[in-house]
Amino acid sequence: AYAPVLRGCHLAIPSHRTAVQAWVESLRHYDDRHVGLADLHPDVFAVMPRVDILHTVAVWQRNYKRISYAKVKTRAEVRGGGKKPWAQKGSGRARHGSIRSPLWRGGGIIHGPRGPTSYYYMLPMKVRVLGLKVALTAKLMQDNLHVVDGLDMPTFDPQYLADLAQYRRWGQSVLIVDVNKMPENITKAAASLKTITLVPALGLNVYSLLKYETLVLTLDTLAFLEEKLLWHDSRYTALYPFHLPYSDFP
Amino acid sequence: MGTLLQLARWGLLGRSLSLVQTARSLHCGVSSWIHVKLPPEPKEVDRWTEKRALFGVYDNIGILGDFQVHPKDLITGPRWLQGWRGNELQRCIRKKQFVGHRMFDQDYKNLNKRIRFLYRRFNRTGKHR
Repeated sequence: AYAPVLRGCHLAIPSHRTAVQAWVESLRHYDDRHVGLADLHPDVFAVMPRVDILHTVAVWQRNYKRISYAKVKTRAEVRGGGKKPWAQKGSGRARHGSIRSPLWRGGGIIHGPRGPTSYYYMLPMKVRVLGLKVALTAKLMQDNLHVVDGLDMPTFDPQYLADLAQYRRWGQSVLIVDVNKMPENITKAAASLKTITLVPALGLNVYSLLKYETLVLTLDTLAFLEEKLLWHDSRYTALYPFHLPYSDFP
Repeated sequence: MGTLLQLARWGLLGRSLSLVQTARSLHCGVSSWIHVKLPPEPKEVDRWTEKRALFGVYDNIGILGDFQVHPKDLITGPRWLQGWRGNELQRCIRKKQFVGHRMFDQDYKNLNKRIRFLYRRFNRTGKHR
């Protein structure tokens, strides 16, 4: 047999905390569940389980892109209605100034939805980062996080992937995240499966983590995520937006 | 609710057009039947379409990817509303700034009327002016 894959944490762990650990698995064989052991940084994978932050971030993700296109016409925009329908006095009917007033059938709507409305807002960057950390913690603590040494598969058969997920009791839906370019076999296999999705590491987000039951990360993704998420714990506040050049960052 | 035809027209039948709103009849007496209409069956929603499975992906592209892209750049929609939020008067003014020069004549006049009305409404009436 091969030597076990042992992954230590590359970034410094505070002295009062110890690393959390997860089994490293492999996709090469259907029963490769204990290929090695990985140390995970506690400030990313063992934070306080803030369910309210998960809610805030998930609601933000749903709403910040939302643009509602509902629009109704007011009495000024409805066609017609410039002329007074009948004289003010004498006809016996109620007094009216236009046939498109909101009282009339076919008239304008007063307080209806007006034009494309956007619901855009941004949460503070550290809240969004903390949301990711809490979601990753929740996945690890609820036994839904699996670390894989690589995404190499023996076949491109989608049935192999589905059977593997079922045998290892991963759950109804699996989200597989990788930093590098993904091999062809797994791309072809996941393309035809609905509930198993391949996502690049840039696409990780709280909404998807809540939607999918299981999360599968590669070792490179672990290092990438720890580096990106821990930087915010000890950075200076931004004097100008981060997309402009700083002398000591990236 | 209505007949099967009305349901189909309102797009409420979804994929299963063979749904029949079953009406059962209660027999009460020798020759009188009461037709009882049941509530419509819930439409089947596929929670794992491409759009629903990949919703929210790339929302953290800023924090995970060196801040070159901002999530507001991912929003698709009218250009005067991408990554911006405002009340109705602000939206009308911004629309006029962005696309006023190429709007149709009647729409432009309506937009100006609306701006004038909202300005006077917000700044001259009510408790907060």
